[in-house]
Amino acid sequence: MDRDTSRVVELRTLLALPDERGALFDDEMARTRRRIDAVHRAAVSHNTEPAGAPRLQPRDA
Amino acid sequence: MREPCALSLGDAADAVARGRLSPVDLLDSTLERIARIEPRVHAWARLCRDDARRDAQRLTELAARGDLRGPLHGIPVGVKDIFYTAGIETACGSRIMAGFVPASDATTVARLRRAGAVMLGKTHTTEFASFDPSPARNPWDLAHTPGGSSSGSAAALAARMCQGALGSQTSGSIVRPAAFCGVVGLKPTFGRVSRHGVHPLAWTLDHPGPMARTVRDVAVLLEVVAGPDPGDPATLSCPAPPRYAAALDDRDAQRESVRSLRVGIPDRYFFDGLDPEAHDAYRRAVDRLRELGFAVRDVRLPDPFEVGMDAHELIHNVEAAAVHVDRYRTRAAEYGDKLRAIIETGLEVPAPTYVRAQQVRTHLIKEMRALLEDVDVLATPAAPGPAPEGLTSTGSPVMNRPFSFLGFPSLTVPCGRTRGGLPVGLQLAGRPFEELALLRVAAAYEAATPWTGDEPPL
Repeated sequence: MDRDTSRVVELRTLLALPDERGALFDDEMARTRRRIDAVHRAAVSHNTEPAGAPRLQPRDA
Repeated sequence: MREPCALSLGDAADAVARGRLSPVDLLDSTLERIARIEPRVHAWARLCRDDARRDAQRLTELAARGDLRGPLHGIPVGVKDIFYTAGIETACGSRIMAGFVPASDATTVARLRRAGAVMLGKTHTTEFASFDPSPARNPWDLAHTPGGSSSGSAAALAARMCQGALGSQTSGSIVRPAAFCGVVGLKPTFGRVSRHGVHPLAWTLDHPGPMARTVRDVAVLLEVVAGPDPGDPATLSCPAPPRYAAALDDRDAQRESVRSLRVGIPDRYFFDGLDPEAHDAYRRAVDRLRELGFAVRDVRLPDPFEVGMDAHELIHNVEAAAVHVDRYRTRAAEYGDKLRAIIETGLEVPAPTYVRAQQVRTHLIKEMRALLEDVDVLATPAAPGPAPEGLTSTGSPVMNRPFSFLGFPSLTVPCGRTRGGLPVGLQLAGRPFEELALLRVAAAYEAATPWTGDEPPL
């Protein structure tokens, strides 16, 4: 078992996921790999605040 | 007077307010229309005829006493079946949710009711507002998709089976079906309309919003559903919504907006793979905006625009996986193939990649804010073409995804029809919380063109 396969098995065991991943998984995963590569190569500073920070309100808002 | 169900929301509300049309008569006309048309269009997941009759009767009695509940008094509306409705099944287009009956209304549904709307029923959605289609068909050609995921809302409006509707957009699920069905759909700024009580697809990308047959009707609905809600933290720090419909009714202000608003034409992205007929309709629409007096100019999209769309897809899939993982463990086989692939790949995206995608998002928001200092509104095609043939796909959200990712407002207004008779839409997008600028441009365009108000040949 290669390292990637082992990681996937661990993840699926950890989350108690079924073995079968569905008919369209391979195509979507190929696109996902390309997207992962694209965002990590993006010319965007790693000091950028990620979107999705808490939106806090004072107590009486 | 036209058949009541064919009136615009504004005209029907006006007729009710003046005592020329009762909510009961409006509902009867609508239910007769549904009885004739729905067996072919399949827009509705669930009709609430008895509740609607009871509400219309009560609203008729109130109207007779001059007691109008609000701007939607007696108006029949459809609600996408991912919005919770108290005591009414909310199945989210999924076998998994069949039989789920919420105890309370989504905030938006409660606000519609409070404004006097008659909740006619739940409209079909793709499975959990994702990409596995519903049975809904396009009223302009029943062999074509109405788009998705707000499929039934768009189809019901086009087919004159309601006068207003709620949809939601995570990628392109309001603007795309509205464009495919020849109606108006508005995806508000993130935070403008509460998500409380709307089943999530991807929390940071989900936008509930109004759909109707005219720009002003959408403005009326937006005014009713917008505003802060303690149930949705994203709404709490947002500026108060203006009175959109009254602003459109102010003719001087509307004329002034035509002189002052600047419309930007993007240099790329929105024209890749664009259907030639849709491209022609778009060019004509831009020419019309110029003729009307808007300052139309070319703009250059920022460099990371395309990678932003990759970031959107990663965030979308990861958040959808997080929404569904607990149910998915035991019921994976009950999910549609498309949503299943989204969940499965979302589970495999590394956590640092998700954060990286959110950094790309912050960066692109900043860049697009800067671009929108030079123009007030962007005009693009609303979809890569008319509604595709067949019911196995709901079409591509590629034109709408950027504004779901950014959280900036966008809308579609009908801008033509293909030789085959299918509608195409003009998408307008703008600065956060400046929905009014989009509504103004769309209203001016709508008033100068013949596309809004046409009925499909059912």
